[in-house]
Amino acid sequence: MFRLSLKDIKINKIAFLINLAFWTILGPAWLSLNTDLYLMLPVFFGLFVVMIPMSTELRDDIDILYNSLPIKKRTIIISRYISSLVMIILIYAWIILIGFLMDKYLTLIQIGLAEKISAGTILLIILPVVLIVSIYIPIVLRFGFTVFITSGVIIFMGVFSGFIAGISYMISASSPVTGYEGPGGLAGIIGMIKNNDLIHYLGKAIEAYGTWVPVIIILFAIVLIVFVSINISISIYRKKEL
Amino acid sequence: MKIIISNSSEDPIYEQIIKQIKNQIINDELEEEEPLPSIRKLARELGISVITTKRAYEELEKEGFIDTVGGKGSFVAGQNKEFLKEKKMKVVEDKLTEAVAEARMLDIGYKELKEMLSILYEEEE
Amino acid sequence: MDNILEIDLLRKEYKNFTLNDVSFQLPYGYIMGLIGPNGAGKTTIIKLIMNLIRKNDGSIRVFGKDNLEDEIDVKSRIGFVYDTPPFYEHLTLAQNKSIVSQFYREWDEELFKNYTNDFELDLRSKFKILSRGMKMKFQLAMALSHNADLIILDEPTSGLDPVFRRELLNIFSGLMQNEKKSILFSTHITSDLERIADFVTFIKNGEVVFSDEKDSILESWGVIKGGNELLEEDHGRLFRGIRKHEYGFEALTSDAREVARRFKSNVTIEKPTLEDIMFFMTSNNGGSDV
Repeated sequence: MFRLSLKDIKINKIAFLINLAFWTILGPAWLSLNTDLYLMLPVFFGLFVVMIPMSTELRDDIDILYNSLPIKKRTIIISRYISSLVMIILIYAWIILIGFLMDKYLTLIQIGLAEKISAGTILLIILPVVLIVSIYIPIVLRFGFTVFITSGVIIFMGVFSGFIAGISYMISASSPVTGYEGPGGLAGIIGMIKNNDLIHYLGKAIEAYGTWVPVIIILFAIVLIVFVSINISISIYRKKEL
Repeated sequence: MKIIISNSSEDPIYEQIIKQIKNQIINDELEEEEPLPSIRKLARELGISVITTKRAYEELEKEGFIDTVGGKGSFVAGQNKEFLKEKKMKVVEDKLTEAVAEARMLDIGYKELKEMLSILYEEEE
Repeated sequence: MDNILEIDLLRKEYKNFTLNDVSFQLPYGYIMGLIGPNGAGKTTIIKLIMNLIRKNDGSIRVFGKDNLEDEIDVKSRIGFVYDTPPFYEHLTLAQNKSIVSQFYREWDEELFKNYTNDFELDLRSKFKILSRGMKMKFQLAMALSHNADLIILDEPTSGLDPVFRRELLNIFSGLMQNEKKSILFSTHITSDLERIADFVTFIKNGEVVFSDEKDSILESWGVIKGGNELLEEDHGRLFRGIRKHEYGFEALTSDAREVARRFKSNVTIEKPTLEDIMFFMTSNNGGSDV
């Protein structure tokens, strides 16, 4: 299973490395613009750079190869999840690393990444990513890549808006705690991003629920989503005719 | 041992093999107890299927020309003179039977046939 | 004889086609040719054995095991060669090999190198630049390098030159020196099978027309030629795939002996080739049961 994931990563390493290079070069520029954007956008961007080569692999003929080898279908599916998630986590970790390094050594740009980031906020940003991967893989398996591309935008917007709604709720619900007094909803969030405040308020909002409780809940949600998605994917894949 | 197969022959391939091996045994070209190639090796060398060689060997064994020892392969059976002589006679007898049948069909009588036989024998001298 | 492959009442339903109660067996140590016109169901059978598609009914046993229950075990001992080699186009042969070889416990690198040398394959070249023949050779090298006991090939020689086809038959002969290995080989180029196949299974319209020793088939079937007056009586299933022309007719029979007995010198009977059999059986009144 892990060998397969490794193989996935090795094969797509070009896409992966392009992504890393992109963020290494443009990182400083983005960072200087806005920390919040810096933290949120790359993961979505990286998602697509990673997804596209992966879905070309889900094409029939390569599938015929793997299904002819002595490998369980379950293993094939799980390895795809592992490689997708690992790649995204690596991209993300890389971005944060760059951010910290710039904070430390590029005195021109100081965004105070360290204060903004906590376990909770990181997980909260990974959550929609996991959601998208978990929705994406079963859909491509069942309907093929072209359907995904056309519906991909809808899925993306759906997840994104759900995400926004969730954040909105969290922040408004504890406004005494976070101290946020601006408008709510999408406008408010955009405002927060503009002011480089989103992650900050998110962090406060999460703390309002205690330091570890939200982290555990989010982790649990991630695990649950991936687990359900894997099982759906496996049963779709089992029915697939090559 | 020499085996030559013709695809255009009337005889099926396994028959050709049987005939050739039989003849070589009868003519002492293959000696008693001499080992024969395995059915698979023979099939490979001749470029034919294994079942064909297997059938040929089974037939030869049935007729007493070869022995197959499990795990060791096939060998020319130990022959006694009587047996060989009988077999040689059988070969000629078969041919004569054919000739007789043909003669009957074409309305050639016994006398004519006998004459033909004398002439042929003399020619060979 | 123990069977390396047992197909029993295998059934697969599609909208416009059904593989209908297909049964046949292949013993250890022999080669079976799977013949039939295009679309007859040969590829479907092979895909069902490899579990690329799911059966509706019936059983497939390989090495005495069920092909679904013991899927991993079974697949690790099968070498497959498909008519479209399924590899990564943009990777080199060496890369493709290292992806695949790690999944086979019995991968033999020495053996693989020997084959790729014999086939003159440069492992550094990318898969996509290879000719069709080279792609097939690569697939073959892969299939033969993990000590597989059953080699399954689906139309491996279509589109390939006669030289390569001969080479392939030589390789098969070599493999058959081992009496524990078998080969299942589907093709519509029957001349390839003519010499070397031990068994032949003929599939038409999703059904088995016959499955028997090749020698027996070629002996009991025959190509009949005779005058048209013979067609005036009904001879039932004796004449198949009748082709009438102005001066006489040609047909196939599955019982050459009976035809000889009945019609004596009014017909000529010739030994058929597998191609003759396929040709006559796929014409209109070829019929499908024997």
